[in-house]
Amino acid sequence: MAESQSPEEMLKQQKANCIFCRIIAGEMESKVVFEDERMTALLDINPAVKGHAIVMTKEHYPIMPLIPPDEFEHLFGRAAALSGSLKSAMLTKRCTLFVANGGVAGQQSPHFLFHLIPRETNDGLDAFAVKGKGINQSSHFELIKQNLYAVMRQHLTKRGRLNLLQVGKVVAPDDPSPEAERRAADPAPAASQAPLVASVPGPASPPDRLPGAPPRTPSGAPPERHDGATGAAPAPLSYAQLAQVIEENPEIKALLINNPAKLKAIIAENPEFGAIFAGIDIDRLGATLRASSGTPANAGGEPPVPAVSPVSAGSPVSAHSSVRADHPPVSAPEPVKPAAQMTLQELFGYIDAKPRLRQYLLEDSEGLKRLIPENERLTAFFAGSNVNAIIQAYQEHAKERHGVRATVEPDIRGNRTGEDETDAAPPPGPTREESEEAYWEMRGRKQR
Amino acid sequence: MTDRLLYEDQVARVFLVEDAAADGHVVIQPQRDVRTLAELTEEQSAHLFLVASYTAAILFQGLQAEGTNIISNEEEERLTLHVLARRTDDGLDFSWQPRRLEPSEMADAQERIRDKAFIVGKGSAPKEEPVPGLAAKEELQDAEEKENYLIRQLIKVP
Repeated sequence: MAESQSPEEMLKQQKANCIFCRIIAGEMESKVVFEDERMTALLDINPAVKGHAIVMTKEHYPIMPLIPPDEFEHLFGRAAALSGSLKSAMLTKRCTLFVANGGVAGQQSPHFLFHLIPRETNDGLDAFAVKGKGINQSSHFELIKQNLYAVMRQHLTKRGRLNLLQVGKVVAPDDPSPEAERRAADPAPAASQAPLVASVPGPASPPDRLPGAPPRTPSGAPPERHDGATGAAPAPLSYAQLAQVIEENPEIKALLINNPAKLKAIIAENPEFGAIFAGIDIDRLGATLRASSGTPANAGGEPPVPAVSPVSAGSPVSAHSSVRADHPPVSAPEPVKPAAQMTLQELFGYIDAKPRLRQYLLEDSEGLKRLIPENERLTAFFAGSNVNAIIQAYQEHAKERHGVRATVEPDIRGNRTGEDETDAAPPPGPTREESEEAYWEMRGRKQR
Repeated sequence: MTDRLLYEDQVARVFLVEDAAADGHVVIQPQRDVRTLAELTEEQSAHLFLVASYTAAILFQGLQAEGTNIISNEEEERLTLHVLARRTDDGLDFSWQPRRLEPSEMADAQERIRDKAFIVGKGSAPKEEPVPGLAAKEELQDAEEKENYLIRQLIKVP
């Protein structure tokens, strides 16, 4: 249709004619059931059943792969709770979620949306059931496996969540043993080869083709991704490869050792650097290099350790003393188990038993963050973890133990939102029920 | 039926379906043993659909599909997202017969869902200020739900 039109022009025109964009702008009436700053859910005017809702971003994206990662996570993150609300409102046990990509699949709207349909037994909606037809697709196994691993690895690297790929026995990110290398590469041994599908449009990749438009040939210029990389980004480097890169580039090494903050700024501005250092803790790397090159810890831009930190008052101040005092001063200290390898319960138990670490976490998280790269044990402990997440989780945990629950926003099921759900074991301290009792008592209106 | 594992991470796992409904049929399940979407956290839900989206893109490009569907019916033992490659005349049809609902029924559905959904992601504040956590309690049992809903309706009567 639109040889002469650029994709941007097409999109603009599509937007202008989009009925949902007009609804969202308030130009047309609709039955909104949920709305926040980025998304909206309304009742389908041609419902399969009563309560059938359609859910969409407020911004116009014609197809699923065009939704930027943040928007995507928001939309489909909320889908979970929203489906719960829908079921609870319509008093059903099940809810069908239906996505159609492309006209052949039943996509009718140029504004990407998904359906939430409350379901009951014998509701006559068997059409949604996915019934096996005995089709053998074993020939697709390798293609899908290799490409899925490649795109997921690329995505998780860019989102700084590469640790999600560690399944089963957790591999420390800097474990240099061949065994660890092998395990890390295990899910797809061939992943380092170029993917069969050079560039797969996932969330955040631009339109390779719109529904109905002819597919672009692989020889076409790789589309530029929203997050700055182009096409199939280079696979993230192993620590060993990274070390080589650093050795070969004295400038980078100097920056790492003397001015990590500046290097971070450069990385933030430069996608190529971003790809090289994806998922790497610059501060930590710098600390390691400093240690190996014999440079004193505070030689560069790192802020010095506060002379009197809340927990080290009175003790002689050196880069290590304040925290190491937690541990017996033996020549061969027990190896540190990284927080990333602990369940949340173990983590909280570990921290509970370390008064100084605990105090740092609760009262001086900034100070703690400064100390981490300078202290081997802390570095090892926080390796592969999101320090901020641990700080936040532990602070919430501590609050909860004191029965102060009101500041923690309950999610739809009354659970605290957060990763602790991935651990079956409840954290030490009061149970959720006890916390809720305390909460209701506090509100002065006990239920049941 | 033994579906072959294509991919897994800490949140999701992906299988190639042995008894496939289409030439290009992959299922995505959470690592957590849950039956419904609502039992997942926001992060887990988002991640599951992200994997589904990438899978759909791979089916679309790698298997020369003309479209894709992602469907979850919450009818399996464990929550399952089906990702299906679609082609013209592939014999699949997920369309439904639209129902005619009276305006009063639509208004009723709207009000009921809005009543429950306002707390999603601490969404926009409701008009009649239910206490946070109240709705969560109501989800515990259906019977209780019905009762509370009726009571709430009564409270609204001036």
